[in-house]
Amino acid sequence: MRPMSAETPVIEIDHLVRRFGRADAVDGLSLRVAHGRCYGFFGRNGAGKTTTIKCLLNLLHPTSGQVRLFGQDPARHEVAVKARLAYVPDAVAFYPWMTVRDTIEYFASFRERWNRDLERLLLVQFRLDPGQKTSHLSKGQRTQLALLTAICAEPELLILDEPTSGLDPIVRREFIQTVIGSYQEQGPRTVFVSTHLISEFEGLIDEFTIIERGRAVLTLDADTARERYQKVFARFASAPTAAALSGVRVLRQRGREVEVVVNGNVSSVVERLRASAVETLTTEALTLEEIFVTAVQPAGAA
Amino acid sequence: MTAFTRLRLQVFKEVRELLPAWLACLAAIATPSIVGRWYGIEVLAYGLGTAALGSVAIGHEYGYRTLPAMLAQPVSRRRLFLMKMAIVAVMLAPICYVFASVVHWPTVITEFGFNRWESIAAFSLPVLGGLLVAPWITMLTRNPVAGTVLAPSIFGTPMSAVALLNALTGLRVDPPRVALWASLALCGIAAVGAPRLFMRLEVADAERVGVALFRWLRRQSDESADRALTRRHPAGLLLRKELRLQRMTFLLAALYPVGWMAAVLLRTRIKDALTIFYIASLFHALEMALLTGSLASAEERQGGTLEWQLLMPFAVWKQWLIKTAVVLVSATTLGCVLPAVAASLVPAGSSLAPTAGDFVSLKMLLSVVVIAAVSLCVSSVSGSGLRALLAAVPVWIALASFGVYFDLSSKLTARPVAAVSFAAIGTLVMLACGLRNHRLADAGR
Repeated sequence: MRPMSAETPVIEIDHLVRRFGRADAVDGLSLRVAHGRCYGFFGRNGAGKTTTIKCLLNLLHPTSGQVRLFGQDPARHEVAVKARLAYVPDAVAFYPWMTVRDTIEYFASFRERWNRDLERLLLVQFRLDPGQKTSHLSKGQRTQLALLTAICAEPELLILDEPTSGLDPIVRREFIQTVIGSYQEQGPRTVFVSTHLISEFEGLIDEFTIIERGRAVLTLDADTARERYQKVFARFASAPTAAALSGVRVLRQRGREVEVVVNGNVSSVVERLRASAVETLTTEALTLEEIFVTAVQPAGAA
Repeated sequence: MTAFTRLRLQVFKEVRELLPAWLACLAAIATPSIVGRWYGIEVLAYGLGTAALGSVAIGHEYGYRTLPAMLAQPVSRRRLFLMKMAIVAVMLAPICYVFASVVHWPTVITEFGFNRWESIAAFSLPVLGGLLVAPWITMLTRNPVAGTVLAPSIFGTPMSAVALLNALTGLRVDPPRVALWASLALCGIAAVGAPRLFMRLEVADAERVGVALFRWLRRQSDESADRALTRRHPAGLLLRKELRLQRMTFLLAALYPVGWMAAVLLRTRIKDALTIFYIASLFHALEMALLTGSLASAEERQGGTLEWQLLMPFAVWKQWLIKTAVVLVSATTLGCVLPAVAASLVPAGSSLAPTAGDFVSLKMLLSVVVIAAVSLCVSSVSGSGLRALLAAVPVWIALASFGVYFDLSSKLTARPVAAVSFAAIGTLVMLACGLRNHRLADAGR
């Protein structure tokens, strides 16, 4: 057993491969999540996000490669690892005969620590009736209950797989800003979130990995990503030449107006555009969602 | 929260899941002694009930899709498995006791030629099957119905295999005794295999592997994916879907000819082999009727396909008609015609052999149709095939008790037209109720 030091990443994935028959769901993925970070795990449907998370939780066994949580192998030290994390699956399910209260008590029975004040607060915030049967809850309410059972355990690591799917916009915003925000404020906690709704988590993500066909296509610090990926809007005196736009990804071109995405070489591209009789030129950082689209969508498909 | 409270909550949850199956099993075992007839049902209930308990202990997590949440809790898998199995063991004890007090054991001992210890082992076999083999099969197939219906065959299948082996190779081994030891060995393997499998249990997105009995169906689907889309009549595709829902029934029915061959081969070795097999055939018919109906609607609900199926631009009553036709035709073909064909193939001169007419009699056909309709109706308000199967048994017993109370059997035997009319009206009422429930997406909640 490796001792956990401050430098030990909370999540370590090394060359993870997981096959289902002949299909590679995850194909050589590697990533590290440092302590206290909110880590985004982005990918399209079927990219391998849920499979990766299940490998982390020992719900699936890696075909090859290694996963470690808190410096420990989740298969060998399952209780020690799981005692420090909570997981909200993409498809939330409960025992249908239990009430909301029964479900909370049942999940609390597995935990050493349980924040009753937070439980009461979230029950009110999510408008969940403790006496209602879980089989009568809507999809969004089931997700809320799953989030409640995860957060009230006050885990060091919160693993969320599509946590906001099914939530209405008000609850979604409330959840992301209040719940996750305050959860991280309570102490040095780590959040690993897999989602399609990247824009919703924009302000919270510290670092992210974009996964496509089981491989990491981009891993970056969120601030660095915003610096690197810029959107440049230019209006030329006459239609721009192909040479002026070489090496950049054109998002939109209408007559003399061009919108391009620049990856890392902003100043050189801006210089080149300025040299091509440009009338107006503005630059703007891409949002994480736009970065995701840029990284995943092949050039020309936009 | 104290350690005791934690344990109580976790134990209560497991007991609550097993309670319906446990009560149904106890009621079915005790019924023959209470009503004074239907002797033999207690054996079926003992075999199926013990297997159901073991299957439900693991299978309900598949049914509710709670396996990821359960396995992600900070508790070792070893402890989870031990707790589940300990509760099953405790709940099996009263079943064992009640069964021991109602069954006539000397018959079993003399019939198979078992000594005292072998008799005890044979008596314990369903318990061991329920405790060890049923959870193992459930985890292997990710299907609790498979655990429930296949685990009880752990004695019959080796016995049939040994009888066939004797016939084919000229060996002179004693089938019941070898089957007993083979079954115990299988339990031993399951005792090692089940915990090992649970320790390594995976939660894949495709929750159910099922039984790959009809691979040609799947292969055809794969091939059709490569072909250009061709319009086909939805009725044909619905029919194929309904047949696919019944794959467990077909698997179980496939074991029947094996058992029949064994009974024929063993008729000189075991005096009442054919009589025993006649009774087993009646149970087979009952099981086919219960299983076909139970799987038809509830499995769709569990698979989550019911809602969009109902929203297809194809009248729900037509969908229900196809479903009903598949259930009734499957139940009568597999439950009555198959045993009748088997009986007609018994070598001439066999005394005590059942005849084809025993299985395709009006009484038998009507019984199978009514039971299938009842279980289909129960299935239409159940969230899973296993729950439907477990609920259909007490419903059927209650209806049968009603029939006994009013002596319907003798009254209707004398008047066949009235019997057919009565059965037809009962079946139509059940099917109409089933259609009404089937339309409701939340009926199984």
